[in-house]
Amino acid sequence: MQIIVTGHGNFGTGIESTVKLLAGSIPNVRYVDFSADMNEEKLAAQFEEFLKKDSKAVFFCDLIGGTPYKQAVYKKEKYEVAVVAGCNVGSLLEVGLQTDLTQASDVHEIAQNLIVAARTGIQEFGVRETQTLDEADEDGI
Amino acid sequence: MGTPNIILTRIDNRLVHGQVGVVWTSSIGANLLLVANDAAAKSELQQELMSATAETSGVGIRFWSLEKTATTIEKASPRQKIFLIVKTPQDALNLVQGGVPITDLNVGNMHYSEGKVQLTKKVYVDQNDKDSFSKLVDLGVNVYIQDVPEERKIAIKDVI
Repeated sequence: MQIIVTGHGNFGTGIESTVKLLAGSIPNVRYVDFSADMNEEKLAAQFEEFLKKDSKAVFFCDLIGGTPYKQAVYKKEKYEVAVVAGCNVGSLLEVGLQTDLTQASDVHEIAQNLIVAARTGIQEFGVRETQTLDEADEDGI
Repeated sequence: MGTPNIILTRIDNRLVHGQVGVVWTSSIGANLLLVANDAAAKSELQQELMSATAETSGVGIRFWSLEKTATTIEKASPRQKIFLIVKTPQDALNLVQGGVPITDLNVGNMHYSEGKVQLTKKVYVDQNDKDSFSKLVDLGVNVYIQDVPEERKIAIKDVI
């Protein structure tokens, strides 16, 4: 399975540069830009190229309902595809590094994992709803 | 009581930051970050900042002085997969001499400061650092430089 990070402008390659700095790379994650000089056919063709090599993909999109999102959803007709939008770079790192994407088989499970990790990663510093984690466990340290 | 399950020990002068809290923690499958640092053990702001990262990654975090780490880490439960983070080679040496069972030591960020010479892109050392590394190697610790998990390890004894 693969994760395809795609969005308007340099969303894809922008996230790629962040991943590169922090982690080097994440196996089986691709990055596709939808740039000003592209039409939707060209974007769809780039998706198709990746899907021909690996028919399972989670699309990690910038916006719900935007062109990259819509073109990703159209790929559901032919391939095993899940589409998420609004997830953050933290969720991509967490899920991408914790999961062996080459072995993973359920695209919806990976999509849901991304959403859960992304939500956890949204907060205002100092304002927290959960309890502090610096507490000894009953058993252990 | 017993041998704590330390899955990785890393020297990083930023302690827990994005790369450590997310990238390394996710890659090695740790569920507890133990920051062994005397200043952090006393600083609420530092603790709050590093806790935010740990919380996001869904792992526990402790901030202990070097002394407390040496005396208390053996109480860890076997299911606690510990990622131990220290700031300097001196602190790592202090823990090893205090009896903490560190077998492998990952050298991450040791950024430039005055009087330090460069070993790799992210690692700068002075004589004091080199001496601490040599002592750690003599004590049988496998010390290597590796910034991110996919990068190849460079044995410290090959570069100092």
